[in-house]
Amino acid sequence: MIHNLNLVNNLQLLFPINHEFELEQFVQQKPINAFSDEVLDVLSELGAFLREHGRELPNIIAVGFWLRKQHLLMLKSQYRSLHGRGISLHFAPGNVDTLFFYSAIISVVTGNLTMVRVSHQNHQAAAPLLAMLNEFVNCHPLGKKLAERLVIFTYEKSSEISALLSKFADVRVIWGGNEAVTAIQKLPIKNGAIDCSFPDRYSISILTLSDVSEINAAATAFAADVKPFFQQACASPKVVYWVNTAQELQKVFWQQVSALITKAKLTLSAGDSLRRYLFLQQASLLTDNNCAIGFNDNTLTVIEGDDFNGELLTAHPGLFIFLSHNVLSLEPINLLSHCQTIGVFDLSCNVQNEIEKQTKWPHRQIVKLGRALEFTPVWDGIDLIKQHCTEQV
Amino acid sequence: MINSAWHNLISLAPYALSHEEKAAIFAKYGNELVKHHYEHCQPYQNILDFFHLTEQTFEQAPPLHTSMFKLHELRSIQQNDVFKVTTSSGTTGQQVSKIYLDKTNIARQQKILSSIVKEWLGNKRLPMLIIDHPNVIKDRFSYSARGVGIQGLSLFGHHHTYALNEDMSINWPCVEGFIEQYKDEKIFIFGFTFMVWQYLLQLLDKNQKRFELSNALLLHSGGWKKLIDQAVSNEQFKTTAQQYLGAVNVHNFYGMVEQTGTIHVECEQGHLHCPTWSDVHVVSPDNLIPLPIKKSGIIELHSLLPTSYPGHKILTEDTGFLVGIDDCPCGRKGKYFQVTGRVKRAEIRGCSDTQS
Ligand SMILES: [Zn+2]
Repeated sequence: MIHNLNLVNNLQLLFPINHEFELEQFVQQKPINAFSDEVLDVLSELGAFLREHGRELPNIIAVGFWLRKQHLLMLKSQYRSLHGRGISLHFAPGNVDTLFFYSAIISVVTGNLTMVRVSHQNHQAAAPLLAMLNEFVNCHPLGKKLAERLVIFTYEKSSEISALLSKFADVRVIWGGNEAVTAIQKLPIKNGAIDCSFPDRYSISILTLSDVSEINAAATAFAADVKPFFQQACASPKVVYWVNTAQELQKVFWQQVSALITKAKLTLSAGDSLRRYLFLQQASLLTDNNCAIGFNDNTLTVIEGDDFNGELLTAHPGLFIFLSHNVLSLEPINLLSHCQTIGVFDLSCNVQNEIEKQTKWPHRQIVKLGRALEFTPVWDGIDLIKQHCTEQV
Repeated sequence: MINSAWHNLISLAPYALSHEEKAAIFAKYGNELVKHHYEHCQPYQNILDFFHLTEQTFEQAPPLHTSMFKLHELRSIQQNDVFKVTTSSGTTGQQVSKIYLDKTNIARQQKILSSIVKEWLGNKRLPMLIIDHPNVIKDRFSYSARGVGIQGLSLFGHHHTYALNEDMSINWPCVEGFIEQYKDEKIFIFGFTFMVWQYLLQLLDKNQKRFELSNALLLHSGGWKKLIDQAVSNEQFKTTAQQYLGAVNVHNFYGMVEQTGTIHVECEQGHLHCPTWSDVHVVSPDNLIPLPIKKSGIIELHSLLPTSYPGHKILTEDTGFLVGIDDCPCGRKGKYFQVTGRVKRAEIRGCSDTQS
């Protein structure tokens, strides 16, 4: 095979920095067993390091907690003996602070050699965690072990480089919108290699409130699902279904959510505001069903409607706009095929049980309200651990 | 009928009414206009209903985001009555605004434009040099913003001479012939800001040429974005024009294809002036509430002209501030303002940004 390896010179190495990255050498290493003691030691030490040094940054602390030995062993116990597939190549967004690393952890913990490309524009969000990873390599005795098996870089949009890297991949993990995913999928990979793709999805919440005393917990949990990334993450709910819930309770709920968003100082830029107005002006023209503004203050807007179609959801810019639909039972709920996460708030658990019985719904996961954005190895219906492994030989 | 109101409005002078006098006119005719569009444009009705307007007044109507004219077909006339569709100039691949015009609306735009331009040019038609190539107005039914501008302003000139070839090179024999013939008369030069800068002034500089006009008026428009990228200020543009063209009065003007007719011409003080039939609000991006004088915000434009499409109240993506009201040292009444740039595009957050 002759590759234009000079292209590798265009890689901007983000981890481990101050090292020479030799692609040919890197890809000649062999995968090892999943959840090996050696890797678990490195990762749990890294976890402790992040918990200790990530003080100001809750998302980094969260990564630290994810890497607790206990948690890693718990994951291990859920799988039979497995072995890494080989080279895992990840295409991750640079504007999400920790996703690139969760994606990487899965392939490192399963014994794979891991290459991560974070997007070139706006990769500042990833910088704090990258800085800490590099610090770990420099000052921790086990750091070198991580650097041997994981490399993180960025490069200017180039299908040539992506194509070159893809030729080495046994697993490709592709985060991104539909266009990004399709563009990468077109690039050839090794025989027998597999893609784990995460195209555009939308998510919903189903809430039922029977008393004012429940609102506080519901609003806090809901705000946790929508505050990160200004409600633009796929897992953040855009549609809220209210089951049998009085309008007055809904109103207090929205007031509280609004207050929580305001408190978090999530200020919209002028460009965000213009996008928001545009969507609100478009909304009634994108659906044949009735829809109109319900609750509205300077922070969040609720659009009340009978049903919401794909066009409306595609145009939805996040930014704290919620499509709200009142139902008496689950029966009228009509989910679209790209529905990802259902966040549920139901203290009685009756509705929750009903939701779990919906075999025909297309959603990928059901979580408790407030946990929609927590990373799990089974994401969007894909078991990333299994996909990264072969049966042990 | 909304069009009949225009008998009273059309003969007003462009810069003679005080703010209060204008407010009264906007309250009366503006409200009629909102009702007209509400009744004749179904999408517009849907939008107003969506926002639960308690009354259909000009004040309460939401200013439509300019992209609404790109993404939706907004017209308040029957398809049969559409006489012309004008489009904004978008770069390839971008969607363009589509503005649906009937004959009445076109005639009104022309008339108002004429009233405004005559304030600056005088009543007599002047020999006109157009900084563009003739093919830009080839297609009669669908004009680009550049075509609309040239078409509209051509009425104030004679011996229209296009300065450029289709490949954007200067048509030297044409330009030199025109200047030779008219160098002692008052002449009218018109072009888009960027075209004038890039394809006239820069090329004169490169070829070490200068013209010695004795009395010219250069009107130019079309946004500063490309020039801001090249760090060219309005002041620099003016001095460069005078350096290479001779005695020329340079006036920028600000207008939108969504509100053709009511252009905002820069006076001798460097201020953009609202004519009688248009109004400008500088609003806070947070809540669209008008901001006081000198405070920067998003420019919202009002115009009484649009009857065939609901373009009477639009939210631009431009930023600027009001300089004053009724008291510009140039003597013109009404609001005057400055445009400072464009709102930065919204950032994309979340996981769908892996390609960039
Ligand atoms: Zn003035």
